[in-house]
Amino acid sequence: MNKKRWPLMAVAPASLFLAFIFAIPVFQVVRTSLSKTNGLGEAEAFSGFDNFAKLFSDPIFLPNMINTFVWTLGVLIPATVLSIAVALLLDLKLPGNLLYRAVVFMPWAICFVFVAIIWQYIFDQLFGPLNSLLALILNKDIETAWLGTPSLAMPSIIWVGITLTIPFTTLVLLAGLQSIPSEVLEAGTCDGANGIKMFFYIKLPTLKPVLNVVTLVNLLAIFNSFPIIWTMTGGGPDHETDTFPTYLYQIAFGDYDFGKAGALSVIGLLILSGMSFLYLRKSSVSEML
Amino acid sequence: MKINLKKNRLFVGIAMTSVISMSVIAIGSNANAADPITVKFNILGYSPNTPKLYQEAIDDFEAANPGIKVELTNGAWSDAYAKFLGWVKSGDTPDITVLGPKWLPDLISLDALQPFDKYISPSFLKNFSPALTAPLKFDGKQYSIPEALSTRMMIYRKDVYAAAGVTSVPKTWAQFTAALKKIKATSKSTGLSVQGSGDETIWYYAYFMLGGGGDFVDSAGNWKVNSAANIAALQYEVSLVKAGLTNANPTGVNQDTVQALFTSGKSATYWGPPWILPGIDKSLISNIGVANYPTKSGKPAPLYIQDSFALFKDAKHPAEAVKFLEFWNQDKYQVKFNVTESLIPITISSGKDPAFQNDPNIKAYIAAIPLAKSYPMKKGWETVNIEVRNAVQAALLGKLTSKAALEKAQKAIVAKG
Repeated sequence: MNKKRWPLMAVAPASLFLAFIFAIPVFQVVRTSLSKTNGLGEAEAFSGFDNFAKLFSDPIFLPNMINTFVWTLGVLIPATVLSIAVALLLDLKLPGNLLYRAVVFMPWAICFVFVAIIWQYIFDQLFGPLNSLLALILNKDIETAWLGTPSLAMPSIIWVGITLTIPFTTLVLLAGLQSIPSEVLEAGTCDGANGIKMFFYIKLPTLKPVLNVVTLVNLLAIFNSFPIIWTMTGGGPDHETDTFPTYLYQIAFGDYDFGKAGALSVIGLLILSGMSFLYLRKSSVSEML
Repeated sequence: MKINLKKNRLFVGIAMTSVISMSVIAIGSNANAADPITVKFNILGYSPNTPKLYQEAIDDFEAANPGIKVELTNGAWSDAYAKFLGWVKSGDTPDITVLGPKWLPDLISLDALQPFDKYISPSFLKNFSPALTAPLKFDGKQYSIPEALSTRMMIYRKDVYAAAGVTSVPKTWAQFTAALKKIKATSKSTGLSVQGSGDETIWYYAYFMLGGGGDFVDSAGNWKVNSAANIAALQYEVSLVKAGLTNANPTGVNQDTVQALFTSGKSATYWGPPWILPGIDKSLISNIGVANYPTKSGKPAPLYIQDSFALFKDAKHPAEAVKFLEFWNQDKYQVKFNVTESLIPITISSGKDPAFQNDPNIKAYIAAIPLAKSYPMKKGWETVNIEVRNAVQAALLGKLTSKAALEKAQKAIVAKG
């Protein structure tokens, strides 16, 4: 058999199976988005692009998309930078390293809804420890509505998003750091590379493929993240923290407009596919794959 | 005669298969005759106690009715409607479920439910206040039966009111505003705790809306959230917040926090359900009073929220399921259920129990039932809920005037059909 074709043949059954599993829901969503649906979400008649027109004329749609990008990038960029720093620290093998690792990974191991409830309590305007701590420091009554003030609600949930994204990202990056051959690091040391040079000229370039993969995975996960926002703010106050998945949920299970929800899902799919495609082209992920 | 098994293999095969099949059918028939009917009963719990309370009744019911088993499932409110849709699609529904009546119009339009009329005994419905059963009728048929109830009242601190010089319970908005001003001048307590975030935000607004003579629908029954009365009610709610007579920033205050404000003694007044009463600090409980929340005219306009039972069209054993429902509604179970869950009794007879009548606070909640009003049982409620909640938040935040916020909500409701 042709040596070049053999790997393709080997992965073909699994790829076809995955494509099939992926294709059915995508087909259903596209069909729903182009149909008039009944209360059960079943397509009843072809309606062209009516659902998309309804969606675009919704005054919430555009602010929602802006919120979604603010949330996604607001979590992704700081979480990635902080995760690199944490992974480097954990890679130093300091005394008590196992304990540090457990502390870093713990939030990721707990159900996100539960973590969100804890943060909701921490941010509570009247009984939350955050305001109590600030009151103690500033020596005056503090009743900041972290989740109820438009300018503070989004930064507050972004902070929670960051804390929940760091563990997984750190885990993957730490694995990447530990897979760098010791010979490479020793060679760097012999050539006089200090900590900063070692990071920028040896560790970061070696880590780049892993970093690209984890960034792509995080991008998709954060964009579609539902439990943190839904639990902490429900998308409020007055849509200030409404993002793609909370908006989708409200259309489907608030308005019971499954056709419009289908249209929004298709738009989400296109946005994420486009972003992933661009990222794959710009990064070395495609080479890895 | 010798039978050639090799030649007659087919015949023997058929004969043996028939004998085995007949035996299986016979055994099956005998088993069916001996096996009880299994009723599938789905509840949506209020606390970890809910399934235990139902199970106690089920155990007694099964002992009294050896031919009927009741299989209890306990679902979550958060994904209940999505589950119902899945059940209806597959045709594999329980016989009866607990639900929020807001889902009834949609489920009826999907032909997923059947009325109870054929199965309930004539005396059964008479044990409910018509104020509770009437909104659960659709096209003259009883599609739903009350399950759990909370009327909404004003709970206030008699000691704080007295210290502020408020000698009688305020009945009108004008009296209430004056009382809150006096409390602000004399007490560290917040006058009124107001909720502006989360699930029950709309009810907090509804207290003002009903109190101002407003409603979610117009006289023709169409959604109309921006009537003059509704705008005036929201303006009044916002004015109390702006005047500092309530907690600051209500849009950051959810149901748990607004209740904790009162139960911890930080607020002098709370409007809402009875289930906060057991959580009130023991040092405060003797100074607690319950009355109708003030209205614009002074005429009581309490809100009630109830959950109810529905009978699926695909129910396998509707008669037996309703038999258990009637069993569950006996006073013995109703008293224990409502006392444990801190709810208001739904049946007239259980409401007369000393457990409720000897408690003046609960008694006041029960007395409000005949006057109380529910939200409209009409398709599109969830959209109205979301849009009005956002309108209330926009007005409380000062992003929009009360008028503009409710007009925006009305426009969105109409656009969403």
